[in-house]
Amino acid sequence: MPELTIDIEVLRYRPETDDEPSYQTYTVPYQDDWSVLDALNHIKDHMDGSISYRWSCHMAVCGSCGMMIDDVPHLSCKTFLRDYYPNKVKLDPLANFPIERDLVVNIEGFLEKLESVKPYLIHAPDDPLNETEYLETPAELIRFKQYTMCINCLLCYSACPEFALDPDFTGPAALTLAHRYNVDARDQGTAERTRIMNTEKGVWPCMFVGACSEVCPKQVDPAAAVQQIKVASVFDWYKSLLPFQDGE
Amino acid sequence: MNRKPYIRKIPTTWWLQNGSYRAYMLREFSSPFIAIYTGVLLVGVIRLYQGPEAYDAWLTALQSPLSIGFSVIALALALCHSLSWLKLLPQVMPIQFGETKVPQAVLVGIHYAVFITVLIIAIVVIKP
Ligand code: FES
Repeated sequence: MPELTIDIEVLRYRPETDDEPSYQTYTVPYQDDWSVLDALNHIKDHMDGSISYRWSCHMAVCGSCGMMIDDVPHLSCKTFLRDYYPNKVKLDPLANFPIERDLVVNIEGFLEKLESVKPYLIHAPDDPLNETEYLETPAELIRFKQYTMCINCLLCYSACPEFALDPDFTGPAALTLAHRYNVDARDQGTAERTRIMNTEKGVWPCMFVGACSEVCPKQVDPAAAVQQIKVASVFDWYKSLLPFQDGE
Repeated sequence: MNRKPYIRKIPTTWWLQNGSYRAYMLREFSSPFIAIYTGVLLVGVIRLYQGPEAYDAWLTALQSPLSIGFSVIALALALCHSLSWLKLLPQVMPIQFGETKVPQAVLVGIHYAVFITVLIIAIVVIKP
């Protein structure tokens, strides 16, 4: 029986020679247990060593292999050729990010945003609990557990039309992580984060399209986190109108 | 190293690209119709205040083909708009009892039940 094959169309961009990206098609052996990443590794190892893409774990954990597969953001290690065969598979770098080379995008902007929302537990220096353990009950954990599952794969940014139109928008994953710490009972940094999230690049540009949650490979539901920040932020604003503020 | 990041253009038709963008645009598109319909109702209240003749004139105006056509479109869009919010509601206001989160389907179901009950009351009790 002749070997089955499938066409993989890859957007190539070599900054040293190309002015703009163009597609290149590779015909690879078809195996029904191959992920798109397996096909790319086959191309890299046996057909064209110059092709660039990111990956590491091959098990949907590291979050580095995200790309547009037939125009939908997916993890390439978690997306199988059998779901496309016998049609060709079209691969583009993650949408809405600048292309660095081939399927590799520039994520520096995201890293800055992530840092800006202070995604770590913040305690007042004089908090007596600093000397002991901070306990979190199972009921408290459930409030934010799903948000801890984010692997920073950036599929949500590729699905977000607001980020597409305004690259400075803080965006789903960074905001979700901020919310994850805000609702953590051990954290005292909500006020600091609220200042950042209430800016015009914070939560408010979000129009609740919800596409981020649909493409999330870890069921984090970033759209939910962003809307919950908006609700908290509205309460915060009303509270600021009261004559007696906290601590006075 | 030579870096020359390439930025792709967003097509003006981006909102036609997939189902969730189209649903979102439909929700936004419905807003002006709902606003205009609210305006029409407000005019009705003012006409009621002005007396029975003014109110009757408003009722007659509502029966014109143009007005009926607009109301039908506004009703359809208002339904799309409201139901899309019912679907999104559990994401905005999750409810948790102890260690259990109320499933999203239950929250949406309760809202549908309330929505339909109010609708029935409105149709049966507040008949013209
Ligand atoms: S390679 Fe790690 S998530 Fe796909």
